[in-house]
Amino acid sequence: MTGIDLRDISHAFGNTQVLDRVSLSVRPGELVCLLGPSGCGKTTLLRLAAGLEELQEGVISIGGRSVAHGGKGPGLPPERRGVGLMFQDFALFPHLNVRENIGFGTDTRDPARQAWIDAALLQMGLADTAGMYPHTLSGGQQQRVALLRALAPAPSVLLLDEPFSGLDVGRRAQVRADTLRLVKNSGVATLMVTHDPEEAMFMADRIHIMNAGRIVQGGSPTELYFEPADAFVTEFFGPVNRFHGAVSGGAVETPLGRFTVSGFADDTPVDVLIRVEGLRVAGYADAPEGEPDDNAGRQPASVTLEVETARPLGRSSYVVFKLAGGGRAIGRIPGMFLPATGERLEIAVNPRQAHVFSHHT
Amino acid sequence: MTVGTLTEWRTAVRFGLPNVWTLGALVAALFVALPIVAVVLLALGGDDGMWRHLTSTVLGLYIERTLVLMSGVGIGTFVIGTTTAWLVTMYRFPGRRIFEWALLLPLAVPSYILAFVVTDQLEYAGNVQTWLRAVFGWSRPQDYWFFEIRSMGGAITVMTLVLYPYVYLLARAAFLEQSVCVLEISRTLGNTAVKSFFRVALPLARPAIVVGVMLVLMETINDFGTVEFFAVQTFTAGIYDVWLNMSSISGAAQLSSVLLLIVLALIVTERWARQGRRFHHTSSKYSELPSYRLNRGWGWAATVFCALPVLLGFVLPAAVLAAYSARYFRATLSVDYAGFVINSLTLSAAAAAMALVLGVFLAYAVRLSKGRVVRIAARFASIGYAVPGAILAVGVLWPMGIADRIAVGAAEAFGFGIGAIFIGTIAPVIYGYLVRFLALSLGTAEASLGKVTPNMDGAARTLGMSPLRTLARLHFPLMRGSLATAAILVFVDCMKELPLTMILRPFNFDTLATFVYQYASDERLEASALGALTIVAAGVVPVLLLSVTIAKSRPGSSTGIGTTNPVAPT
Amino acid sequence: MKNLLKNIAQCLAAVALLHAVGATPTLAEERTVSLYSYRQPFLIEPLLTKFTATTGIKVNIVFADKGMLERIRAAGANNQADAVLTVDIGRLYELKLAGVLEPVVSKTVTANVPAHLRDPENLWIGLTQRARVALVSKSRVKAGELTSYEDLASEKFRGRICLRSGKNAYNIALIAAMIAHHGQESAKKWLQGVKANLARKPQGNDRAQAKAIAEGICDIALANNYYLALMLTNEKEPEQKKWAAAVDLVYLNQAQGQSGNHMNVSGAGIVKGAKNKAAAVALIEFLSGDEAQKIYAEINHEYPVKAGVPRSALVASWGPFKEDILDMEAVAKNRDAAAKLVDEVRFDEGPTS
Repeated sequence: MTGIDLRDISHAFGNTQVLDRVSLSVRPGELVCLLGPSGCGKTTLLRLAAGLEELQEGVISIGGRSVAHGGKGPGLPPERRGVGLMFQDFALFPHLNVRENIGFGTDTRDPARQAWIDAALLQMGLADTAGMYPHTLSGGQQQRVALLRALAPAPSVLLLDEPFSGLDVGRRAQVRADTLRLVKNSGVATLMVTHDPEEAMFMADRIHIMNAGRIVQGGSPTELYFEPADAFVTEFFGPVNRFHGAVSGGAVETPLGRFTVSGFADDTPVDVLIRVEGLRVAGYADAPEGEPDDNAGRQPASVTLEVETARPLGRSSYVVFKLAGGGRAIGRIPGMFLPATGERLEIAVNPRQAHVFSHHT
Repeated sequence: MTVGTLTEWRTAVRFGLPNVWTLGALVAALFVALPIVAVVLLALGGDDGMWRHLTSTVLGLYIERTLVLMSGVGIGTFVIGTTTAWLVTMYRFPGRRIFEWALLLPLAVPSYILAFVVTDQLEYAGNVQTWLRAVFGWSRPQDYWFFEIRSMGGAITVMTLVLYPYVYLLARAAFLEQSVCVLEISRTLGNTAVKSFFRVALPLARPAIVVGVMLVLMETINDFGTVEFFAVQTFTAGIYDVWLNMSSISGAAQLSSVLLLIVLALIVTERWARQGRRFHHTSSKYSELPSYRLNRGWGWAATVFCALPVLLGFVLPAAVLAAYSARYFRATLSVDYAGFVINSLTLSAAAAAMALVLGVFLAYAVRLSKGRVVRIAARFASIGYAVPGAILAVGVLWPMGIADRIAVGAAEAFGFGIGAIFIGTIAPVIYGYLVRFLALSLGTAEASLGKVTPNMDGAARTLGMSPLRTLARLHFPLMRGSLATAAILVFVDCMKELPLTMILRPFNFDTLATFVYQYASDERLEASALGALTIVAAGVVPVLLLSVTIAKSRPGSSTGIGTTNPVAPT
Repeated sequence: MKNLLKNIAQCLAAVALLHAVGATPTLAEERTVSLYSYRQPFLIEPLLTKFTATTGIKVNIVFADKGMLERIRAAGANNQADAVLTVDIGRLYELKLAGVLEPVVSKTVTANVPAHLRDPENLWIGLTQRARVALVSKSRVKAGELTSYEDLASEKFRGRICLRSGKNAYNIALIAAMIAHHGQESAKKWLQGVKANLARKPQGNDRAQAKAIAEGICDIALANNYYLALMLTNEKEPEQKKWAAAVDLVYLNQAQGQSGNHMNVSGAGIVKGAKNKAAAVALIEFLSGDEAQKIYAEINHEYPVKAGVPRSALVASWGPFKEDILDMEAVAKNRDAAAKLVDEVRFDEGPTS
């Protein structure tokens, strides 16, 4: 297989184990996201792939060729790996103009690459800035220059380290779309690191969730969202209502209703995690966006709850319910939905949004 | 006065406050520039046929030798300073932690002392050749070839060894400031570590390195002691010859003025080349420098490369001086040795403090008054760094003599007589130091002020601080580190300074440098080795402090912006 | 820093007070004399100590090998120096030309110092004489092989001569004397000849030339006579004795009809408007007197100017010789021409250029 393949990578800084037997691979044309909280080791993995850190354990191969073998020296130096790298802060060369920055890694006598650069400048709306210096550019322009610079030498692997976190929120959507298009068109194997699940889901063909140096789960965005392997993954994709209970007769009882479970013996203590967007107001028509048509066959639980407060969020509303036994439940209801405090509502929970895991203490 | 300056004056008058700064700055700049002006005025005194003689005989030679010396020392300091700075900043190899500071040590060694020591060891009767003869059984100089130490090569070597720390200092500070990300990007774009150095790190550090090399060149151009010792006929040697052997101080002043013009041209060229090339990093993220480990062979090669300049430029002279000190200890004790030490320390400390205050004041004035007058005045005031010391001393004497006459006249008007109150005191010495070394403190202050963004100023002012309080509460704390650097450089330079001190000092007053020179001028430096060793030792402590300051200067390190590189008057 | 400021303040106050109370200035003036010295203090220390012990006059001193004339000029009427000590005729003459000296009026001095060793108006006074002699290798130079300065340009000495820089004050004085004797053109030819005979580029001081002979780098050098004496008696650095032992001293131009060995003088002058003039005169009287002349001879092996004061035993052992009695001012006047000659023939470039 071509692309990049990372096998059983372990890495420690002093006594701190930052990577623990991590394996993943990216095929050409595929975009894989490494998603995890900061400090989970994902940037280190990227640096190892680029050859900026010396590999301690494991094997890295690019294009089917082993470039680093743990414990056997530094491996192939970064300049000979054919990887493109883009940092969070873009790290543009301040002493070179835009054109020079992008052309930095290319052979100036290679007309094909130079033509590619000119075309890319035009395509990305950078043609006018070719002679300008980086500090005079906007953040979005800097991002595009950095991306083109990484792609210009036609690498077989592209490594993106938090490529959008330096940008204004307002600009991100556009830049993301541009980036995705450019990367997909180039057919490069792309490994991207991010801590933003929305970004990961938008960009990735596959996502690997990392926590404390390990890959906890890998799969397509929808797989991860709807079939999280554990509580950590579930929570990583957004806020949840968490309840504790015990299995009884193939189901577990929660303040938001009873949920059937499988694979648990009776009396097993379990955690039930219900996404806030899993709460629906019965009779309230609007269907949640971006969600596959649910779960015919499963019986949605239904309870009546008293509203404590409701706040608008724009495209959805944030509603806090009072629970009978004390405590609260939170629902994110699509659209502008602002019931009065004290109002009692019939709430149904989408069972695909409720996840049950055995309880860890 | 040009139109621009007129407008500026009007603006200054209209807004009131900048006027104070502009006026103060001009007065201060004039004060420091007076001796240089005096040299230029002195040059108007007719040439006694000096030019005709020089152009028809040795002027070409002087210029050629000066250029060769400057190129040699310039290239030598550039290569050693930049390479060692890069090695200790980016790589791990045996002894790196030590080299980080040890590479600065030769800064504490006056070049005439190193010249003496190197010759002492390498000449025919020196240890090296004696050993060679013993090993190979030679007995006469005709038996073998050995390079001539008292030559251009010797002068270049010695001056390179004592001056490269300037380049090292600035290059290292610049490398530390660079975002490591740009280097890593360069690696992933297909450049080896070495190629990345040349394509990214070096161009980025260029402004700082150029400043370092400029300092070196100015020191090279005004040096007399070393070139005289090595029998190299430079322009400056010619200046002294015209003055002392042809008894023409005006001729010497004319040559000095030409030297000034050359230096000004250098400065202008450098400024021009740097136009619009102020590099702003777009990176705000500074990850810990990774420092790549070098493999065994390259690691030891790096160790040797870094060790050589330290060994030759510091360990060797210190060891030879220590050996001689032990031998001549008794002779040194018979003089007022402690007195010399105290004189040296107090003079240097006083000059360093004043240079700092003046430097900060001028830098601040340049910042506040955006106009050209103050900037040009400040530039001119800091050119004293390039004037040969003894000529500058003559320049200092004139304003001091006039001040004396005014003081005496005034005293007489009030009915009592006094003698000279300036010439013959330490005032002219400190004045001379100020004129000579203001470049160091002004340059550093300007560079570090530049790092305080106008937004910070704005924030402080809107929070209700006056400009002065902004200086005290915002700028000074931010600049503290770099100002310490400047003070240390001035201090160490004053400790080593000779010609100004010798000509301007009071009666019965010796510093370590003048004490050493008594013997050095007779080529018997060994008899005053303890003095020389003390100059070196006194320089070591501040130099080490400097090293600590720089290590902390990395952006993103906890001590933050504080420190910056010292910068020449460019 | 605080101390320093305090010191400055105290100095200023003291000076002001002294002059304000100045009703009795004579007291202060008679007690001290202030000197600008071109001579290293450690060389004249014994003389000055003796002077203070004898007369009770304290000596203030600044040593500098350049810039003192400019300092006197810049201070003008406020000049603080009473007298100047120099090591060769050049500086004395320069001070005289600059008009900053005033005559030394003292019968003692005129009696002590022969007329040809002082200025006609006594603006400068010679205090010692030094001879620029040849040092020749004991083993490689035969007796009588070198007898004159003119010989130094002879082809037979090709590659055998060591000299310090042609711009050194002592060499300048010698070349100036050659110009005075033979005229500019002959002197130039001679200097070219000497240059062609050099074994190496001119460098080092006088001692270093003896060392070079001892090391076999060359056979012949010029040096001031006292350097050889000082090296022969140097107990501190035995290697200097070794160098000195390798050479013989040869007085030059001794034959009938020849000019005699070139001489230079160290001397003194009184600065115009000296505030402690009497003390300055007393100092010069002392320095030209028996006791001081003896110290000059014994400690520094120079030739006393006062008749009847014996040379040091070592110097005397080199025997009597004929001095060049050329007027010192004739030498001084040609210094400028001599320095230019050194440039013209590119003397300091050494033999290869």
